[in-house]
Parts: sequence; structure tokens; C-alpha cells
Amino acid sequence: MAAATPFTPAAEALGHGPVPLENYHSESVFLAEKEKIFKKSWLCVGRENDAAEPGDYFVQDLPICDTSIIVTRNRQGRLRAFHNMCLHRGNKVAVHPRGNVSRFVCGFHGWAYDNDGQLRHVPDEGSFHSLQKNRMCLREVALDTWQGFVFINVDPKPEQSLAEHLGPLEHMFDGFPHAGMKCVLSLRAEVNANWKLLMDAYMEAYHVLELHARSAPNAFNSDTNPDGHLNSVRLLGNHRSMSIYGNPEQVPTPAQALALKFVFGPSYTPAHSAQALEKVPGVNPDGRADWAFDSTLVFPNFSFYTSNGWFLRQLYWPVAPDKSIYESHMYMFEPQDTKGLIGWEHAKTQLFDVALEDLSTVERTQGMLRSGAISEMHLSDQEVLVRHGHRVVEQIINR
Amino acid sequence: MSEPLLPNGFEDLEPFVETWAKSDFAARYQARINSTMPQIKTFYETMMQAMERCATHLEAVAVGEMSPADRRLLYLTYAAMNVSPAVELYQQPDVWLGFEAHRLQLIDHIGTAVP
Ligand code: FES
Ligand SMILES: [Fe+2]
Repeated sequence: MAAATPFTPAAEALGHGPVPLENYHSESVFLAEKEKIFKKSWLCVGRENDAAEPGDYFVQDLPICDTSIIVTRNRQGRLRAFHNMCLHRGNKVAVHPRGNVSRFVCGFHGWAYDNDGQLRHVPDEGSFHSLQKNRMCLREVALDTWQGFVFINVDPKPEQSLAEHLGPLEHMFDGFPHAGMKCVLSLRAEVNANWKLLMDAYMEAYHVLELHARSAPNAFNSDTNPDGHLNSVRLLGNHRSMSIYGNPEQVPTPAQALALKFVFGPSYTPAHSAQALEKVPGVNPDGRADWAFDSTLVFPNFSFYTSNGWFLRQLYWPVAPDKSIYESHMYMFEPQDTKGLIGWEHAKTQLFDVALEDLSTVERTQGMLRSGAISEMHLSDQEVLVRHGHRVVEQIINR
Repeated sequence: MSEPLLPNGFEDLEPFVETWAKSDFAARYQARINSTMPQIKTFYETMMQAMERCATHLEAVAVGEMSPADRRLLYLTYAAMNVSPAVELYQQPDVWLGFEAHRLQLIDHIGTAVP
């Protein structure tokens, strides 16, 4: 039955040879990624309802783009993004992670900006010469949205629109009921590892039977699929997606069974996943009953996990060649009643524990890279998305 | 009369309130990894027996209308879910050879109604 993953000719064309580890710690590769990828790409920085009302804002620091940005909703209800840098002498204008304001007041000398970035007030304005206040605006950053996600692009003239960047992904999730879901848990960790090493830990399911043996027993393999092979993979330009096998026969633990009874949609219960799922092209595209979830990497660093009743937004932010920031945000349907919250706690706990397992190997690996004891890695067919990720980055930085 | 620790009929769970009835996830997780397995097991087993009873009580109370005693009961049920993998899966309080739990921070999320 579910023995072999049906690989596409495109996946075959990536070849089978070992992949060098150099890119996980090279300073020059990191700098090239910064200039040619992160400063040129559309990057996911949040959800539209993270700034739902006029005046709402949130700040995202982007060390890999050498900036911090403010995303805010103006009086007309439009989202806009600005470099978080005062036009006077460059101080950060917004210092809180989020809030609601009609004026961003710089804490240095008090210059004040509205939600369109327009400079509105300059204390002791008369002491300045030739200041054209009405024509001064915080430096705008390109912003667009997709499926409720907010993307920015720090390139002053983005080479592609967000829709062009998304390409084959653009309509893949049309119909996914994300609007009814709420953020249940947000996690963040500073990880002493290259962003690709961190990301690659999430680009395959080969590790599940070993690393998650205790936290998710019998969930992602079965007698018919003993090695937990993927249901399918898709190479989508610079993006990539995979559908993860789920064992429909998995017996939930007693607490998990209660959680399932209390609320629709706790994660990692494959038996529950394929039930009554609306048809969304990118979600369980194989239409299989033995399916757990899909994981789609929106290039360069945003993982969008989709399943029945939940989705996950996960990011891998480069900081230095051997340092990254991991962010994970879980979204689920709001419970009908108070007991549903008990089910949420179970889902949160699973997510937290699995994250601790996933992050554990990443620093251990990074810590060995400079030894040079091995200089390349061997990838199986089940790790083809890791291979694809390296190929895409390589092609761009060598351009 | 002093304020009851837990709603009427849940007096049997009162001994767990001090350690386990924590309002935020990080505190519950800390309580789990700072406890011994015998402590966790006693709490887990008692709570699993009581869970349907707790849920029946809690579902009748709207999130916005919970009394402090209702809240503490809800937090106990959260903690029971939180410790469950320690008993059901790991046979130890934390995951095996995991990333340090204190380095995985919970960031305040935006706009949820979770009490
Ligand atoms: S730097 Fe902002 S007011 Fe001076
Ligand atoms: Fe994993």
C-alpha cells in the first residue's frame, strides 16, 4: 500500500549524490543569502489579524535584513509597513512589540508619526531649517497578504509581486478555513545553528521514527508503511511541499482521547485528520485516509503546516552563520465551550514537547560542523525536500 | 465565610491546587518538570478519574463568567493535560534528551480569548 513515495521526475532530476555541509557554516554563503535572498524576498511577518483594528501595530525585527519594521493598520483599514527608524536621527520609533496608537512618538526627541508614516509633529520645529514636515514619511516597506498572512519585502523595488513570488502556491490553499482559527500558542527560541540546518529538521519525516519515537508512537507509521514514508512531495519552483503519512489505526493515549472529545482539531492524531475535510487543492492532495498533515515551505523561510482543524506558521530566521531564531505559531478553531480549552492545552503540550525534540539535534549538529570530520551528508529519497532546499539556495547565491 | 478553593463537589482535588493550578502554560510546564514522577502520577491519576466531572461542570460556565474557584479547577485540568505525556509516554517529567525547555519561550500571542 503506502510503501514508496511516488517521486516526480523533477525530484529525480535533483540527483542522488551527497550534499556538502559547507553551506551550513560558511560566512560568505551567509552574506550572499542575506543580500540575494532575504533582502530581495517576500517574508512572512505575521497574520492580518495581528493588527486587526485601525491603529493596531506590531513590530518585527529582521536582523537578516539589517532592519526592524512596523506593520500597522491605518485609519482606512489598510495595512502598511515602515522601517522602524526615525527620520530625525534614526532612533527606533516603536519599542513595544505591539499596541494601538494614532501617533508613533519617537522616544528620543519626540517626533511623531501617524499610521500612514506621515510626520505630524516636531517639537521646537522653528529651530530647524528647511524641514519639509508635510513631505516627510517613515520609509515604507512593500507589504502584501496571502491567505491571511502578512508578507513584507525590504527591496525598495521588489523584482516580483507577492503573487508572482508564490507562483504555483498562489491558489493551492484557496478554501482553507484559516479565518475561523485563533492563535493558540506562540513559541520562540534562539538556536545556535544555521537557519537552513534548523529548517531542514522540518523538511523530512525520516527523523520521526527515531527522534519522536516516544512523543508520537505509531502515529506516523504502521504495518503497511513501517518506515513512515511520505504520501507525496511537490517541488514548486523555489517552494516545496510534502504530505505526511498518518496511521489511521493509531490508538490515542487516554489524555489525548479526552482532548479529542472536548474540542475539534488537536494536532498529531492522524485518525482524526482525514475526516470530513473540505477539498483544498494543497491539503491532502492525494485524498488519502492515511494522512496526518501537509508541510509547505514558502521560500525562503516560512513553513505553513495544514491539517484538519489546525494550521501552523513556523519561521526560521537567520541571525548569523551559526545562529537563528525559531518561531512557531499554532492556530486552531475556537472551542465552543470552556471544556474545549482543556483540549487546547493538550495540543499546546504536544506542540511544545515535539518542538523540544526537533530543536535538540540542531545545535548538536551545528557544534560538530567545524570539526570537518565529515564534509558532506547523505540524503535518502525521503529527504528530497532537504536536497531541493539546498539546490534552490545554491542556484540563487551563485547567480 | 472564606472563598472556596474549588467549586462545590471538588473538595477532593483541593490538595493539588497549590502546586498545579497555575494560570499560564509556562508555569504549568515548569511545575511538571520540577516535580517527581510519583507526584506527577498521583496528580495525573486523580485528575483523569475526575476529568469528565470537571468538564461537565466547566462547560456549563461561560469563559467570561468563571469564578476564581472555577478558574482554579480549569487550571487543574490544564495541568493534567500538561503532565499527561510524562506518564503516558516518557516515564519521566520531560522529553528525552530535548532542547532546554527554558530556552523555548512562549511569546504573548495576539488577540486570543484564552483565559
Ligand atoms: S531621533 Fe527620533 S526624534 Fe530624534
Ligand atoms: Fe520533527
